[in-house]
Amino acid sequence: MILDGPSWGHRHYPFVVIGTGFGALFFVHRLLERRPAAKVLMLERGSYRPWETQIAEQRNADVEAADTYRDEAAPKRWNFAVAYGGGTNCWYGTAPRMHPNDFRLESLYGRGRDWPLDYDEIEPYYAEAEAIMDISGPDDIAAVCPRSRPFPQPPHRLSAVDRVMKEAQPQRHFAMPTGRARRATDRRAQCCASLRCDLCPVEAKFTVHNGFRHITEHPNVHILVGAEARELERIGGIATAVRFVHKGREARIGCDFCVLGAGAIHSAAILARSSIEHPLQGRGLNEQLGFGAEAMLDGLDNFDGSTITTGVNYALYDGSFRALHGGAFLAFENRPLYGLRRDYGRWRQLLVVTVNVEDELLDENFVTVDDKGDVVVHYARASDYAIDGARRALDLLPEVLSPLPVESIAFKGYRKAESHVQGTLRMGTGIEDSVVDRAQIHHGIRNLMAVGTAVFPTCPPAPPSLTIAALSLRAADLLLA
Amino acid sequence: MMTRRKVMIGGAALGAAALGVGTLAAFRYHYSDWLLQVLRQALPGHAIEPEGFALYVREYAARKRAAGAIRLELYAMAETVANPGPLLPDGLADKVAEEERRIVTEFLMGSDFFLEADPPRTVTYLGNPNICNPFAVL
Repeated sequence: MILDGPSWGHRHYPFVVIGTGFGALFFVHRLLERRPAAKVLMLERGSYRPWETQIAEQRNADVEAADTYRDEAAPKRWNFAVAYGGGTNCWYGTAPRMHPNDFRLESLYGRGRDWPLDYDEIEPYYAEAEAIMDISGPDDIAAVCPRSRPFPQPPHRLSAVDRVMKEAQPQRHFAMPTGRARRATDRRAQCCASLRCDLCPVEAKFTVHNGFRHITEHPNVHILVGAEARELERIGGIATAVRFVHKGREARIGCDFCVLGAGAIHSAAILARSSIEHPLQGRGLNEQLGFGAEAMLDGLDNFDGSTITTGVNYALYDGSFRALHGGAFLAFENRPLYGLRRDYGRWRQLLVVTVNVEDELLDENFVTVDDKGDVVVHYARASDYAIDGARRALDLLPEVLSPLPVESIAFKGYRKAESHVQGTLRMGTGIEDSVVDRAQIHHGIRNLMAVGTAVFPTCPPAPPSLTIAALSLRAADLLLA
Repeated sequence: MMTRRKVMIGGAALGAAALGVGTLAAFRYHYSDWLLQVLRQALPGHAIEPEGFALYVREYAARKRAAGAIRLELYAMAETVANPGPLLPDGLADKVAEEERRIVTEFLMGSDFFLEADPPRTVTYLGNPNICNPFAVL
């Protein structure tokens, strides 16, 4: 239940969860399945904003992400939603799995790190997360990412461009897996192919509000909004309480177990304020390097698919080239992101491809706090690995798009943000190379778990939301088994 | 004590302020002429329904004001009295071309232009250009 008053339920909870985004919600979902009587406090810095409020005010949150931290190096936009539900509010619903080789980057290509789990281990959790979110997708994508279960929802209709690409590259080009409903359910409308999904006009997209009502309304789950977690109290290697600010007042709440899911920037800052130290803590802040490309087409009318992004192409995603530069995730947009053509009658003879290139975690990109406890982001640059990967993707795009009647291809610039803030509390097998272990438990504080993109030890090309969800289900199982 | 110098300085300041307000008003007035010019070039043989167009101008100006696009306002005013395009540096010319493309796109996507197989002779802007993809087959 949502608590917004001047006080809250108890002085002590068995489980205190900081944050209410994908990572936190999927953990609590599994916790309630396994221990229905568990008492949980979720602390959310933002407010409770139902879908209707977001649509009426045309914004997901009433706190700007950029107002929650300070830039201390090259300015870069880090996009996240400060509201109950976190990224489930503002995400565009793109929900692919990671490629099996994303988990073995070091052993296969000598770059980055291997994840402390492999694809086979996470696969059942991917399938379960897809079921919870009613993901729409094509079962033949198992050729790239093997599957134990069919998608809960059929794939979206491909666009004219996707149909040509699918015919020519059946093992590389697929309908995009997505949390935008292909068919209406009792909780969500069918996707209307809206031109923006952060504020879905028909509530077709999976969000906390339509997908986790059982958490929001659960009598044992107290959700305190407007509560900014500041630091953890601990005795030795045990977290004992969370200190937070609620409506301008400092407060504390005792806990037996703490889950940290405040996003990669703020989760790292909370640990830093708590004088919990590790050489890698806060280091390696990253997200994919994204850019847009636009191809003009001769005689092929596009954009007749049934959702905003209809296709994904794996031609540049994985291969031995990843020893040299990053792989690229190619999303085929079903919308004229840069506008219609200005040639009368040829308005939609064009294609927009959004490209996400994997980055490497650089120690020079990090999060810390100043002497007042304010969050400072030191982001120096994307890695050469990512920049070279982007160049290669752009160079090879004509070859990838060769089945299409392409007249020209234009680079439309690097994107300001991918909304996938990652990597400050990386997971691994040992304390030397990671902040949390393979169960996402902090190496030094054994009743503290980190969830969300903060724990990603590499930056896979694929968007991370489904992986966050699967990891949290798995982490809860490992904890509670 | 009011000296002649103070009077002159005060007068100059008032004059500059009035000029600024007047110029800004003129810029905003000229948005509509510029938008109409861009749309007419893109839609030869079509008329543009005036009430819908007025709605589009209001929405467009509100978006640009919210974005603080003062340079665009300057360009819009200049465009209606001359053709400054060839005088612009490449980067700025590209930005103007992008903006003109966006204007045509937003207007058409929010209009009845794509709602029927044959576009209407008179195009009526209905609003909400970013809501739905009119080409989608659900």
